[in-house]
Amino acid sequence: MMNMQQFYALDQLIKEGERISSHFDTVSFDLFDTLLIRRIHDPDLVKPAVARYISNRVNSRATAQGQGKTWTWQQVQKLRDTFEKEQRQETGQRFDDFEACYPDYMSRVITAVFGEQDDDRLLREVTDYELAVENSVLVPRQDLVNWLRKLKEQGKKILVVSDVYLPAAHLERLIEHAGFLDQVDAVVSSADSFLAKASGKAFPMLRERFDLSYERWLHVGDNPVSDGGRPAEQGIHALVLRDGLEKMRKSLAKRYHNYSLGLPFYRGRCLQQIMLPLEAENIPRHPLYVKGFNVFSPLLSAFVQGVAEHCLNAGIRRLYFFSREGWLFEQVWNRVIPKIYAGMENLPEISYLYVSRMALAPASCGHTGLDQEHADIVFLPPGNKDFRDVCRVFGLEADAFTNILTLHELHQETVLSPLHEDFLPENRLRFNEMLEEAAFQEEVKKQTRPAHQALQRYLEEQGFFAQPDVALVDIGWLGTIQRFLHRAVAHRADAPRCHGLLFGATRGIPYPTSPANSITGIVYDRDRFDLAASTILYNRDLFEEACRAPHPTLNGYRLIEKSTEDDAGYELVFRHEDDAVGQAEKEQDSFFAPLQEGILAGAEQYAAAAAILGYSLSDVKPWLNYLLVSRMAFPKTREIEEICQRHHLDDFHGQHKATKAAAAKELWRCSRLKLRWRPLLRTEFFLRLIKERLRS
Amino acid sequence: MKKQYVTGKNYDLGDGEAGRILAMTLRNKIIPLGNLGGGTRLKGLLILLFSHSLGRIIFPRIIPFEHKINRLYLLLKRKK
Repeated sequence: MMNMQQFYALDQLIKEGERISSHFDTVSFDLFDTLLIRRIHDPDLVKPAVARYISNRVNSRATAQGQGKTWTWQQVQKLRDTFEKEQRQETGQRFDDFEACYPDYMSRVITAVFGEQDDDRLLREVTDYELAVENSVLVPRQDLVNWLRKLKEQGKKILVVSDVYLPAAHLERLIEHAGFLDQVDAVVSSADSFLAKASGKAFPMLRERFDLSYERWLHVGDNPVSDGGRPAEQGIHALVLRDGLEKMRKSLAKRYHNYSLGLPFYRGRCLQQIMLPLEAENIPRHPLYVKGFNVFSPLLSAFVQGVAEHCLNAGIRRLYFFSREGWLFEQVWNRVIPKIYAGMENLPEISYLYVSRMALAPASCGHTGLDQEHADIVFLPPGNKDFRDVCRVFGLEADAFTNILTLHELHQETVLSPLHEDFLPENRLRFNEMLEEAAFQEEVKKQTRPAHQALQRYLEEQGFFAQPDVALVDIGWLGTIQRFLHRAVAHRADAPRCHGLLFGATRGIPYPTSPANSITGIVYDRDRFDLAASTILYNRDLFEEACRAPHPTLNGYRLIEKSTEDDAGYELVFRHEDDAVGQAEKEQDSFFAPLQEGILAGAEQYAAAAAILGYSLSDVKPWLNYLLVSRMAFPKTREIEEICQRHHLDDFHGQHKATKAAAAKELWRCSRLKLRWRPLLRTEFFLRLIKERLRS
Repeated sequence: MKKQYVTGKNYDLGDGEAGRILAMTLRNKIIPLGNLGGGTRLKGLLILLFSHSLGRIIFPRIIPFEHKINRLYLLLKRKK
């Protein structure tokens, strides 16, 4: 054992290794837990993800072929364990080590599950998936890889030796992904020869194969027996790393995982522990990037996971993300869903739909006119006051209504909102009566018909009418965009059933729910009592700004002449960005750019962690609730200062100042002094929220 | 704004999440905060908090005695 040295910190090992390296011309490294560390504490956690992939593949195929037999992932996993065990027993009779070879036993699993068909292709695809999952949890240990590079520069022969069920060709792919395959002369796995480091048989085999000398050979690994005692017995100098900090990290990951088995609260926390960037990934970032990664990314990733679950359960095959928040949702979807539902073939087709309340409001009147229900929506925001605001929202030319207004003893400036001074209820009644007039409706239809027709052309081009059911994904809150959209298409025989899936459904006004048109809040829905999730209401604008696309809002759909067959016959009209509001919005976009970057980076890791743990939205919901309560209702003063948005544009809201609207007291708008020095301020606001939720 | 780390030095979420969870758990005992999935179990949470805050000092010091500690741990577990 003279040739074995143990180290309890990586820097000590590297220091000693550099000191003695001149005595050696070959350096072999163990791979797992030495050159590559795993985000998870137990390498076997990868296996259920692969079992779910195989189960999804076989079940999708069975459904498509109308076959009844399905495989659960637990059955697939059991089969894999059985075949792997059988192979280990068999090799144990011929060799000292009880080793297994992945392609051998996995091809048996595939034949048993899929039957005799395309075995090679399926094995290749399953292997690709397994290696992709492995790659998602493996991180190169930066300092050790840097030392490996130095050794290579010094002309040493570099070997990577591992006792694992994956053959060398697969390990090479993992090392290539980690970025140092070009520094390695050979990769050797016990799965190819069944001669492992554990018994010490691998070392004579390596000496013979690469013509090595034990005296000039240095081995580095983490296992005191396989990487320490066994090579030392042969006369190889061994450096064994027993890293205390790595032990700490794994012990924490294990504890979170064990707790999550019994306490649902810890499931989301366990998932986030696996998400954490390690080694060279963990570099100093903008505070908003950190917020995006640790707070917004689990919320939004779980939201799109909930959307996918809803679509799969309801058999919805087409999904549209509404602009502009849908821009980020779509990117999160592309990072999360293909990984979580790998192998599933009935996921909905997705696309981004350019919509806005301001663009859809006129288009919704082109066929059915303007009714009282929709006119009332205009007067919900306190900034809207009179008939001019109605015309602004619905894209109407106010002067064309002068005669009709006069007939009803109204004029354009008559106050119609009860939130403003000089409001008389009888004026609102007269306005409602005017809405009943055929002449008024004819004028509305005449003015809004081009927008309506342009919208139909746009939706036809987007394949909106090709499916019986469509999912419409938006941030929230009242479902006004979907309300206008459905109204614009409801008259058509081929109009699909619209399933609105919102991040938060606050339902400030009742939604006209029907089998053909409904909304559901995924993270928060006022129709389900959820006190913790209702803390979204503290600052809805923050979520809107965090998710918003960096392109201007849509102002309308313009009908244009179809000059050729290829012509769409419509044009999307976007808001100009050269005014003060447009510039403010641009400033806000650049302010939140690091936040969005963090969200997307976090979404990648969320997908990997959720695929491994197999969690659904309901599993992580308690943790999402905790995130919302802790960050929205009980935030630190510094957090409010860092993340509070600078500008929020809403063209739907008018510019008038309401006199009667009570200035809503909001925690996020309190002064720094109050936030810092009033210890019960957050509790006061939370008690107020409880009161409001219980009343509503 | 000063740059921060996503993973803290103590392997917690950047902001010291364990302490924050403890604060929320205690707060939840006074006012209902909503559905937090049955809560955290205080003993486990304190162990986590301890591991996060002192693990960096303790783990490198006890790792040389890992096998002995493990044997002691198994012995104590059997006695329970």
